[in-house]
Amino acid sequence: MKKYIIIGICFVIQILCFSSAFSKDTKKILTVWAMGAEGRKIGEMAKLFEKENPDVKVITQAIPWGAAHEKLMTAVVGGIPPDICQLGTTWMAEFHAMNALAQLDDYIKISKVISPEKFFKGSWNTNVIDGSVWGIPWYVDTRVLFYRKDLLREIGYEHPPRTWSELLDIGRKLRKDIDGDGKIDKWGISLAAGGGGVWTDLGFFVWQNGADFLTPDNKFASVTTEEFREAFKFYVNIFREKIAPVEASVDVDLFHAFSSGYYPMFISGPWMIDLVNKECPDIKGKWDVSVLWKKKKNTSFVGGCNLVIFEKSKNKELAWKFIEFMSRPENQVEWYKLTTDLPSVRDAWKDKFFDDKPMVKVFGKQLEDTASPPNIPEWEQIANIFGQKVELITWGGQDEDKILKEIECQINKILESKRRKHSGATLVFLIFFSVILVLFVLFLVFGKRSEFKRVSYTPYVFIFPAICVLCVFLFIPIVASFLLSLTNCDIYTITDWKRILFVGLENYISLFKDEVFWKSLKNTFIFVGVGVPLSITVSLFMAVILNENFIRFRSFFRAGYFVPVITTIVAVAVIWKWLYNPDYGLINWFIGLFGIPPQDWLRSTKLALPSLIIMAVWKNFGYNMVIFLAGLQAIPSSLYEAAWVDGADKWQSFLHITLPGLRPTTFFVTVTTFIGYFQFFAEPYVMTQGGPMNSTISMVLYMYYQGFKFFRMGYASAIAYVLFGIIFIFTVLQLRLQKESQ
Amino acid sequence: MHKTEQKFNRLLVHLFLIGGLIITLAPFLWMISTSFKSTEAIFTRTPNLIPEKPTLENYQRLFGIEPPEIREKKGTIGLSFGVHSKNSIIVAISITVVSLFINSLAAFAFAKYNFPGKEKIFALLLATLMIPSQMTMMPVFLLLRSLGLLNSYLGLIIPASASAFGIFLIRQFMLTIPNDLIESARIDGCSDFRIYWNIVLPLCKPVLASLGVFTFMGAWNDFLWPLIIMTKESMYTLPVALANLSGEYVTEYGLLMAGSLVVVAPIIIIFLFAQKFVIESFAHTGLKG
Repeated sequence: MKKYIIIGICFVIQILCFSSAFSKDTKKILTVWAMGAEGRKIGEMAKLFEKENPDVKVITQAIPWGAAHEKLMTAVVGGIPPDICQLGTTWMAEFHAMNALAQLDDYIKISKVISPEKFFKGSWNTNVIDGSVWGIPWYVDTRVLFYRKDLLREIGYEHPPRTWSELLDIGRKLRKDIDGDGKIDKWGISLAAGGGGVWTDLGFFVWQNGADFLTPDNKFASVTTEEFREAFKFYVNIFREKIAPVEASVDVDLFHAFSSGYYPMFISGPWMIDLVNKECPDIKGKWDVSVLWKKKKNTSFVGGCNLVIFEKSKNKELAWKFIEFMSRPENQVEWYKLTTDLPSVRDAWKDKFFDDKPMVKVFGKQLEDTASPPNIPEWEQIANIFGQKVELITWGGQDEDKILKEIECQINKILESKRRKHSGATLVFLIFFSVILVLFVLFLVFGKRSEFKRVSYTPYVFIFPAICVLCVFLFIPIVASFLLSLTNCDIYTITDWKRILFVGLENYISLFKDEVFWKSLKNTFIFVGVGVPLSITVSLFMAVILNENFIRFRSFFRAGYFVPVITTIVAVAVIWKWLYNPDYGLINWFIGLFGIPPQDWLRSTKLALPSLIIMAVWKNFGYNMVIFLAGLQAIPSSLYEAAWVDGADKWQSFLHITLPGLRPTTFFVTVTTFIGYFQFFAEPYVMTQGGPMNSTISMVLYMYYQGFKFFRMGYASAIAYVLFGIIFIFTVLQLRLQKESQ
Repeated sequence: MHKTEQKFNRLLVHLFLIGGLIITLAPFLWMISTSFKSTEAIFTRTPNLIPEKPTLENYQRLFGIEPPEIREKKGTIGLSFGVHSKNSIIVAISITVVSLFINSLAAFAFAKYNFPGKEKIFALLLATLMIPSQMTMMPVFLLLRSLGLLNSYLGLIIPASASAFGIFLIRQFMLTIPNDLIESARIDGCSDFRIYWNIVLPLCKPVLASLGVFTFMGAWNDFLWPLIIMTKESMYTLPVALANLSGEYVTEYGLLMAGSLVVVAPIIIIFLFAQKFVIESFAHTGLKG
């Protein structure tokens, strides 16, 4: 036995050592991540780079946009990001705040290829945060006016609107109610009246008037300045005068609208040129693009993606070389040929390649005057406010001054948390911990003073490893979890501990108001409330049957029923997901034999949770059954014999002998099944991801998403403690019940 | 009449039990069956248990050894399950060996020694049994991250290397070992560690085997902790890899069923060889609560 253990340990250690030895490659390796269409094409540029630098191997990885944000966050937190990554302009602030990006100023100083003037100003600025540069523009995107030349000619305009007043005039003239039914049949222009696109369209007017959403230091809202109010009123007025419709743009097919003149003008990006050519062939030659109209300036929005180097990269020099490579004008043109992404380098636009593309060149002209939203992580929240509030004016007809005040208020509240001073929380943490540790030690040591006389150190040495592990990974985390739940620990504080703040019970209060949390609570209660009695009933039933004396092959049946218990829940979930498949699954086939129509088990909000319950009961009834069996065997058969002599039938002896005799077993089974079911996680994680519409999200799943998808660890710890509290209360209740019934 | 009626009833009961067994095991049979089918055979409305044209392509794709035509058609799945199997094996064996050692050492101290604070520490130990493991998820993750132990075997092994449950179980067993055995060894000049290693531990084989099986299965099947601690795909254990596969290849049921079989097979094999022992271990460990 001893021999085998030693061999086993040696074997394990050997493997561990081998696994950590990396194969030495003579080439230097650069890892590049890119998303979407760019992800698919960047391999080509990588090959060109490898040709120039034969001692380098570039490993590119394409990531779908949907998973990109999460994957990047996990990479930053988990410590294995790529060397270079494509980052959207609106994500720069976030990842900078996570301390994930490398500062590039020193590289720029000595570079011959890259300097601020070589790029468009608006685009360069998306990389400037707190006065330093954190990325280099890769490709850009801006918005211009798409308009129907012929329709404008009809109302007497040989050129597109060049000023705000021309926009109004043209818009009024284009807007027509042809059949006189009071409904407008042809609008002037399509603009966002509510929802996520509002801030972009509104932004044009704001910037053109020399205003901005926030103060230059990004600390306060500036929505009540003269310039902003003028732009804001102009914008909502366009809807009031019915020049632009208040309908949801998703309900209208843009191409059809443009062809038919329903929307004679709209604002969009470079990808639209090819699309309009393709989808609206009947108006070929009748439409054009132009830079936006002017008030003080004719600013448009600039977006696109930048290339960033991750701070943790070990190949920063090489990564910078790659970025320089991608920034050369000829390579920028090459990239346009591959993807039609607009070059961010100004010299690239002078290339002969664009000579026969006048529409694309319009975008180049617009790029000379662009602005971008404030470079702060909270921008997304602020953008949402505009989406909601503007709707109240355009749809709800409310007064714009009043709404502007509300917007200002909300923005300032969001920004306030940025301005909160550090609370020296680290120090408090340390003090708290040390106090607890000291109390712990005192508590142990001063147990029985008298025994200190003949103390041998051996037992302490023996329990040391176990106690150490349990302390570090169990006791302290339990306390730490509670403390975490009192802080604002999120992705930004994980990467910079100095930013952590005590927020008291704020997380718990937010939890109280959190709809999804209550849903997860409800789902968990249903799962437990239905699943536990069902599981126990089935197990008891099967155990009673199996316990009968006449049963043959008892251990065979027992083993068979036990198989689901020992298989991992993940495999069970994957298998049952296939069983529940609405078209080809075994279950729908089976119920079809009885004439029942096929059900969409996992995608129906009503059936999803019951489906999970059935699977859970199937998985663990064997375990409880085995325990019941053991408990049944402990009941002396003499009791049954006596009852039979007294004339009791099966049912009566079951009620009066079996059930009472099983009481301690039933108690144990109930409590453990209860606690187990309360923690259900893998089933919804694998099968439904909490859906559909949060109908299967459990408390632990919600906690996992908050903690490890969004990295809101403070919030997730609060959920953990609420869960623990509930389990604790229920367990104590059951203990009470048990004691009372005795 | 009575006898035949009784015989008939008993037959019915056995049939019922067999029916129950079929329902219990059907998903597994279906899993095995699907794993040997090609895509066309899987997506038919009339299921059949034995595939007409059984194919190994799902398993080949799983381990990255598929023939070129299939690779052309369906692409590779990224990391081979061979990597994940290796991870699972290393982790499960290490956790079992290390935790048996550390737990039994502590159990020995609790069972055979008297020292100040013993009662209190032990009571605290038992109290931790009530804590759901998800409560420590966040702090342990942050701790391992700052120690640089994320994405490492040690990150999974160390937190699992001691368990109050294991200590309790072994201690109960050790209490039944007569003290005179230990006393006589001490008189003969045996050091405490040798008493533990050469005398007590061999006597504990039954409980160690039970706990070992229980721990191994638990570590092999564990999902939440490897999911959290391993962010690099090459370090995933089998359950996490399977969950990942199921998220990426949602409709490739043949592949997923093959993956499920690989994850489940070792446990089932152990079970087949020692089912009585395994079941008794579970029941035994359960009842002692």
